[in-house]
Amino acid sequence: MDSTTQHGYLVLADISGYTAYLAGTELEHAHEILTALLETIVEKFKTLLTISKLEGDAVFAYVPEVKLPRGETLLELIESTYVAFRDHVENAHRRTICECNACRAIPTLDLKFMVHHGDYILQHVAGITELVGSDVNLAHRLMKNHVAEATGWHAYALFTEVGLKHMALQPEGMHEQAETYEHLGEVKTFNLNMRQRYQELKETQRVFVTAAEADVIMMHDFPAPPPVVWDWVNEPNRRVQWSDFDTFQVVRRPDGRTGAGARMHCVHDKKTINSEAILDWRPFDYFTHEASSGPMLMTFQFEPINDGQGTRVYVRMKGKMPLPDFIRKPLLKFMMRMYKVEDLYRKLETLIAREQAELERKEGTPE
Amino acid sequence: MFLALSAHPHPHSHATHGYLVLADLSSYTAFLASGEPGHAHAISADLLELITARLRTVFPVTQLEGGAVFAHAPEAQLSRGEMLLETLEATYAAFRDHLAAIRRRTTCECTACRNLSRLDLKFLAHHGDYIAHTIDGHWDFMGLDVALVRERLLKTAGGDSPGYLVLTEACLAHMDVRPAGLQERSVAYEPWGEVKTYCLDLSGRYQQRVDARRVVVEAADAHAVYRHDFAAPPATVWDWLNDPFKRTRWMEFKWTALDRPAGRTGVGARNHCAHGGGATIETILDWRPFDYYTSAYVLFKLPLTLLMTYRLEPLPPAGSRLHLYVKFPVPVPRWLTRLTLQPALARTYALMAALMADDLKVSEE
Repeated sequence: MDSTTQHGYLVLADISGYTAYLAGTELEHAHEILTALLETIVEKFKTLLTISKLEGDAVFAYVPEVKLPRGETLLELIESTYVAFRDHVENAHRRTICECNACRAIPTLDLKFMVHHGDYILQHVAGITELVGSDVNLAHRLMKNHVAEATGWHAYALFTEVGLKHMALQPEGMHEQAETYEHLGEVKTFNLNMRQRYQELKETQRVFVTAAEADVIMMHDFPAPPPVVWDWVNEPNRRVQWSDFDTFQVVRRPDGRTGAGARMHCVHDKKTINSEAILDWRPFDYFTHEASSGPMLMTFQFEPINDGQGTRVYVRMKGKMPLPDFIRKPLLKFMMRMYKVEDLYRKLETLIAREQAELERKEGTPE
Repeated sequence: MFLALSAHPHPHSHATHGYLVLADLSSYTAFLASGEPGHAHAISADLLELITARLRTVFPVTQLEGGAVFAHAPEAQLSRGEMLLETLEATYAAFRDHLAAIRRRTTCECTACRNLSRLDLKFLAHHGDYIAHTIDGHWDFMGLDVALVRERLLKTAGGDSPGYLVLTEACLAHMDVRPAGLQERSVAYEPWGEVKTYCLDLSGRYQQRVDARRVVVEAADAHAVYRHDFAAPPATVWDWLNDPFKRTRWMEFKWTALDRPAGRTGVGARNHCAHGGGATIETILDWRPFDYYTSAYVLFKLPLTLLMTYRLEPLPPAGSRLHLYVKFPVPVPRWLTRLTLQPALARTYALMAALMADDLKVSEE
């Protein structure tokens, strides 16, 4: 038995309204709809997390700490999972003409998340691999909480204090709530309203450089799922490993997190060479920023390839300098060649491939 | 933009009717939280391994849920409902025996080892509808009856003793058995409404079993000794040896249940076998599912009693060996029983094995 203690994030996605939904519908019909929703969660989760098991209305997953240095990526994964879930619920309801109870009751379903950080052991019992430990028990106990009672929210992301601390994040607008569990004591939790976040994301104006608008388009394939590549492209400590800059300084993070309005300085030889202002932020689909060098708009679009295990990144640039097209386009192309941007992406590909191989090796051998 | 409208997709899955069983280690969370992680995990893994192995002899699919094992069996697979009761009691006895053995063996003074006596086992059994499914290689089952066991009964239904079995009314009705000593309770659960449950004290039954006088025909005392191998686990062979309908098929005489003291098969239960112009009355003297049982047989109302002990030995990976020990009321030399009784027993058990194989094949199909 592999009884090595590991450290990481423990994540549960739990469908709210599941029991009442089952009670009011035919099992066969409900099963079709719930399975599609669970599949949506699993598809999103598995790009970054390891699925431990299905638990009726819940999906339990985990990720070792070493695999997720930028904690904010986890928050973004949760939000992107919620968006996919909510879109699925709303589309399924809008598109159906079926009058059965299962179809009519789809909007009563919602999704909540529980995120904790702690120790766990991968225990193999009777041919089944199971995550065990007090932190695993706590993550499950958190499913019974008083958040809905105190806030009226049915869709929320609950983070334990420990979880949030490891993510190095303090988003604004969190509801603080203490929960007490027998044998495990008092646990401080911080909660985000997912419905509100969904609305915000839907209402935010899109800023996206399309292929038709772009002056220059670059494309590169990477051997890891979109959230991993997203992390390498955005996490300052990872970015310095493949770019020509010495440091990246986050100078502004509205609401305590990366998103539209955030600003980053790229520093070389103690001088700010470039400043990037994020205009649109849709993890792990695309982001657009305005770069001061140029100046230009850049959209980085992440497209899953190889059954979600790889990512194709399109970088579309549109110059903002007051120059006619026939000068601006060759100028931007010249800049890309001068800065050897293709070489940088090749370097990034090598780093990602090396990390993936290292993680695979570690997963094969206990710590 | 026009949205494509679609009817609800035709359901591809069909609900299964069957038994849902959850075996849960009592005090598991407290045990893990208070003890040294290494020992606490090793002990709980060992116990969960034992519970899973026991349950798998009857419930083909099991799943781990922390300190619990969730299992299900389609109705058709458990034709004799009492077998459910016997399986859970036998699992409980094996669990307690194992716990006692660990305690005896260890000299460790760590918190986990000192807290061993806090651990116990409870079972929840329900009968209902569910759909088994797989998403991205992960197996699970879904349904309101599954949610009742997982979300409500596990958290609220309980007995006064540390080890117990809670059966829902639906489960008991399908098992067609009413054991004595059941504590009735009724609780309203949203959205299920009033759910009636019956609780059986397993700790008490275990103690009774330990204290009960053993009646065994040992090999040294037997006038005839016979053994037969079967390609099925002890629980299945036990069922074929004792289910009156199945016995009638392989013994080719009509068997009926006469008495069921305490509402179930056990010590004092009697069966009747009609054959030819006469009858045999079987009285159970010792009953330890799925280890052994001893019965007394009175033939043709003669004042002579034949004693037989049936002992089952598991043959890994999924077989059993039946050891039969027969004691006649008067001494009979073994060479004589080898010539007369053994060929008859070989024919009878060969027929039972063939019928069992046919049934297993049908249920697999």
